[in-house]
Amino acid sequence: MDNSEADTERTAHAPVEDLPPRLAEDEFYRALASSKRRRLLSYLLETTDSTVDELASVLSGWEATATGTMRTQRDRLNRRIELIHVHLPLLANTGLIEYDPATGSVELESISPPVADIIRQSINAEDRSPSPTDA
Amino acid sequence: MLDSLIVEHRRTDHQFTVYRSGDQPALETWLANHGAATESRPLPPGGPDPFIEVKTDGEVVGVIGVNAVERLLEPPVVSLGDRDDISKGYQVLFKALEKTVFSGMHRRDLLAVSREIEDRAFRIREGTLRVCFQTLSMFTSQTDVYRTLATETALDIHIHGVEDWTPPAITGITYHTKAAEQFEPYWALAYDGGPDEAYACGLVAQEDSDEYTGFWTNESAIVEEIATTLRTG
Repeated sequence: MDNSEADTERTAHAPVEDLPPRLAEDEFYRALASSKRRRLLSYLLETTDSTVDELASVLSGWEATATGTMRTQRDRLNRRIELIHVHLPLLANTGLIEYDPATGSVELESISPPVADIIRQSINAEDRSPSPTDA
Repeated sequence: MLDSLIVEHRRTDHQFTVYRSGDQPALETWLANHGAATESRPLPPGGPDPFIEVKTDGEVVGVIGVNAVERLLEPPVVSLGDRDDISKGYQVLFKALEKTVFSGMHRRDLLAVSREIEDRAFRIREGTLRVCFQTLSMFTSQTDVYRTLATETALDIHIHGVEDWTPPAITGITYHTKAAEQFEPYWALAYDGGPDEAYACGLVAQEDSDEYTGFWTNESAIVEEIATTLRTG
């Protein structure tokens, strides 16, 4: 393919200088490599700030609607443990959220529109994919 | 007494949080109309269907899709006779819904809840329905409903209330005005479920400066307690 043509095409979609550097970071894609974390981020895009307890209910409820069954107290506690030990520290290290383990408060960091779009589109795509398999 | 039943139900505190992206689902409206502590949180567009978190005494006891609950609450009001088949989680939800103490409700809200109990009695068509209308004049606007209940079913209907109005004689309806003063602050209904006590349901509400506090229940033992209190008052 001719180089100049490829450049023209890319410029037509979005000027390179407008794209957030985050989109080139491996860490960002590691953060998105879990449907649970994508769900958390999409919820935080709606509410901006939340708590560990609320997020545990959000993940549980999301699963409950997919299966049509009740998520029990124990199911929710498992989600809470995963949040505290895996998902929230990872999202905080990536700089996508601010997480205070002492108070349990979770806040979305400022996220540029292209990054927010990717998160939203990943959630919209869930509808069309078979039940997400995720750790 | 009826007030001790209300106090007993107050011991358990339930809270409901509905997560949704669109309009208020029927379940949320229903809970709010029943005076339950209900709040809502926004879900992202394209996200999950609405779901509800049930808390008992500050602890989350279950999270379930609103659609799944609404299917269970649709008339004919949950076939409670099949309770053994209902998973533990659903039982928790039912218990939570049943034992919800409401407060700050008004006459029209109570009329809506009462209508549900009357509808159930109408569908089953048998059994005893006991209603305390505080004063018989409050029965005035309900006369037509109760005439239908009494004449189109085999229900045995008992109306309790202070006699400040002379109600029409209707076959199937017995009025109790003696000792009714002690029940004047209470709006109460008790339907024994007729042939199947699994269909029993009741309501007790205490009036305080135009607002009502109380509970509704599907537990036959509590319904019987309400009925006995009214009958032996």
